[in-house]
Amino acid sequence: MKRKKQVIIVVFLLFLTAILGYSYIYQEHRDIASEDATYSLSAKALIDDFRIDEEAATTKFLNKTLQVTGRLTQRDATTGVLEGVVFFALSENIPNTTQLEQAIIIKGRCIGYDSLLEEVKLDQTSIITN
Amino acid sequence: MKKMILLLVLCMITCQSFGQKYFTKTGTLNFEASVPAFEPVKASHSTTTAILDIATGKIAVLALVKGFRFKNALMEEHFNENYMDSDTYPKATFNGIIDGFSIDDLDVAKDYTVRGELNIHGKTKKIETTLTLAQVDDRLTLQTSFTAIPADFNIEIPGIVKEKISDKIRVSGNFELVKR
Repeated sequence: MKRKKQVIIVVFLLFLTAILGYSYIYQEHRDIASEDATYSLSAKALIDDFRIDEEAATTKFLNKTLQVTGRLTQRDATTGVLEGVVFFALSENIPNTTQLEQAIIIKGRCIGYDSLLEEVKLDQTSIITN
Repeated sequence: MKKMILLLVLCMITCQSFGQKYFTKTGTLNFEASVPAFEPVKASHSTTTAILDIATGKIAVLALVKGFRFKNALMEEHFNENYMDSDTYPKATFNGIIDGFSIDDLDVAKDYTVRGELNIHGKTKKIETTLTLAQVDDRLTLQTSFTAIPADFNIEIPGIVKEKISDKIRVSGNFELVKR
């Protein structure tokens, strides 16, 4: 009887370890769209931070979820640019209702500063309001 | 008068070719370091920037390391934190020059040799590889692939996962450049 109990406990522990291990190894990706933004600011304010001190701004913003406001100055199917300085990529198509020159609010993850084109880049972006 | 026209024409020609650039913000970079029988180790980057100066054949490529996406979230985290230290080294860059580049030769796809410096993880290494370039309407398509070795860039792969990650990383790139 005692032995049976021990076996049950051992099996249970093995089972638990397997589940925990599996959920650790195959954990979900971050869901940027459902995260609260760490910083909420204008496209101009964001680029200014990078222009003044790229390293400090990188430390501050890199990999953070940002909510950015600005005028849409460029767009194609899945990417756009705010105020000519903040590039963003969506995981899906930009809705047709979002048009050039509109002031919009976006939320995305900052992946850093593109020093070739002098733009901040965001990925996994969603458009909050048109 | 003739001299004036000649000067004007000359000026126009030089103005046209001088500093004319093609670029993209949405180039694709893929890499794979898989070992057969283990979980694939590969990632893709879809917002790589590339600029090509068609007067000089100079090319610059920049990939923000955080932009590499893996299927497995934990692998992506380890890639950023343990191997690439992307908080400290957020950029991977290539600066090079395409041998004998001329935009007039691109009616059909053509292979070129490109030489330059690859900077990953804060370390720079000279590399040489082949580029395939072609002009399609007003766009330039550019394809390349090469092998990189992590040790060259001070990237250490711990013993425990060594047999699951290839020591030769196959990198491929695909860019569609438009006039800036």
